[in-house]
Order: sequence, then structure tokens, then C-alpha cells
Amino acid sequence: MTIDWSNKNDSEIIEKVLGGNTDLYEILMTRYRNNVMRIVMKRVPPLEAGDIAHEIFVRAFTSLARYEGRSPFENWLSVIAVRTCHDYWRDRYRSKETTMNELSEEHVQWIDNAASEESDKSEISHESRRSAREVLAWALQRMSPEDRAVLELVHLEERSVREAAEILGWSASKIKIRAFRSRKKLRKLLEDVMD
Amino acid sequence: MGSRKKDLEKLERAVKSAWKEDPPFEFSSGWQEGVMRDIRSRAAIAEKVCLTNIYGSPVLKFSAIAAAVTILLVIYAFKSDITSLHDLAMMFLDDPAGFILSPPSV
Repeated sequence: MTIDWSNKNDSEIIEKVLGGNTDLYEILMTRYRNNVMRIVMKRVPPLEAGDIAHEIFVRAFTSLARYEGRSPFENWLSVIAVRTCHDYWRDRYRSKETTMNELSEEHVQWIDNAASEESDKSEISHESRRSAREVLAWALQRMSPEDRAVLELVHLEERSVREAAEILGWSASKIKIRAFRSRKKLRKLLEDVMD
Repeated sequence: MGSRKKDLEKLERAVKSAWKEDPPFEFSSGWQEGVMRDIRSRAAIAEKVCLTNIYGSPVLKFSAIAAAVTILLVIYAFKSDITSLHDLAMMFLDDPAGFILSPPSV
């Protein structure tokens, strides 16, 4: 009788994978690949997302023995995903490979519209979402990888300082300083375009 | 000044809202298979490295030498006179008359 492993919980599968049944890792991949991709797509250029997600699953596999099961596997994997994206920008920053995209007329127009929007709604129209993402990407490109990572977690995702510290493996005070600095930087960048 | 601050806050909110939206994505065909292929090959290499480490460890080298010495000693014991070995044992046990160890039945 063959066992249907797709119904088993994560810890049972992980135990088997660690015992040498590498093929079962694919079940975990199928379960969490969308979550991982959601994290990655927000953080790295779309063309790089597939490769980064690939690296995340390989990293998770090679560190699987260190997973202690204190938090759900999904959370553990998310931490690896965020850190891998941070490493991507760190490598780019070190090798000075980052290409600075300039804002187009369309983006400047979007900034003017978003800033002068009459209603104070937090939701933006479907058409302008792409422009908003591109403006944000433009601003994030002009930050250090550390500022960027903290801004994403604390300011954009509204996570607590403690959570961000746990995810990035940094001290809470470092997160606080970076959060303040990065938000100031984002405001300055947006303000300059508004002028 | 106040209006400018408000405009900036609106802009910030708009950008934040855009971040919260999940951008559309699609996995390329064969993406998962590619990752699994990579993982399987890494697992195979890791297993190989692990075995090499065991065989290359000093404990294992020492045990191989110990096994070889034991085999040589066994061969030597079989080839040498069993009576003289018995005599040697009697000497060690301080039993020259052979009260403790009875003489081998030859």
C-alpha cells in the first residue's frame, strides 16, 4: 500500500526528507511556492523572481536540518525568502550592478495625481497600480540594501520592530534606526519629484 | 507647508497600497522540475561527501590498521606452536605446575 504524502503535515514530510526521501520535498514546494513568489515578486525585479525563488527553495532544503519546528514551516521559509532577497540586493550593491531607472513622464504624472487626489482613499485605481509599483521600485533602488529591507518590512508591510528584527536577524535598535532613516529617505525622494 | 505634508502622506499611502497588492506572476513551465533536479543533485553530492568524510576520518584509518594487525596475529598464532603459547600463559599466571591450566590434550 502506498502512502499519500500530500495529505501529511509539514513536520512529517520534513522528517522523511531529512531521512533521505528527497522527492517528498516537492510537496512542500507545491504547498508554499505561491507564498514564496509573493514575497519575491515584491522585492526583486520580475525577471529575476524565478531564479531567486529557485535559490530560496534550495537554501531551505540545505538548511532543513536546522528547522526546529518552533514556528510553522511557512514562516521559517518566509524568513529565508526575505533574507535571500536582501542578499540579492546586497550582492548587486557590492558589485555596483544596480541600474538606476529614471522616472518617465507617466510616473511624474502619477505622482502629481496621487498627491493631489481629492478623496483621501488608501486604495488606488487599477490603472495606476503599475505606475505606483514602478515609482516605489525607483525609490527603493536609491536606498542601501539595509534601508530597503527595513523599509519594506516596517513601513510598507507594517510589521513590528521585533518581527523585523527576527526576520532579518538584526538587533531591534538597528531596525529602529534604519526604519527612521529609510522612511525619511523615501519621503525625501518623493518630495523631490513633487517639486 | 501643511498641504505639502498632506500631499506627501497621500503619496506615501498610495505607494504603500501598491506594495500590498500582489503583483501578477506565473511560474515558467518546468520551473519546479528544475528546482527539484537541482535539489536531487545537491542531495546526491552531500551524501557522497558524507561517505568520503567517514572513510577519510582518522578513526577509520586506525581501525583498518588494527584489523590488519589482528589478522596477522591470528595467522601467526595458528602457525606457531600451541604448546609454547600454553607454556607462556602458565608463566604469566604463575602456574608452572599446571594446576590452573591443564596441559593441552595433544
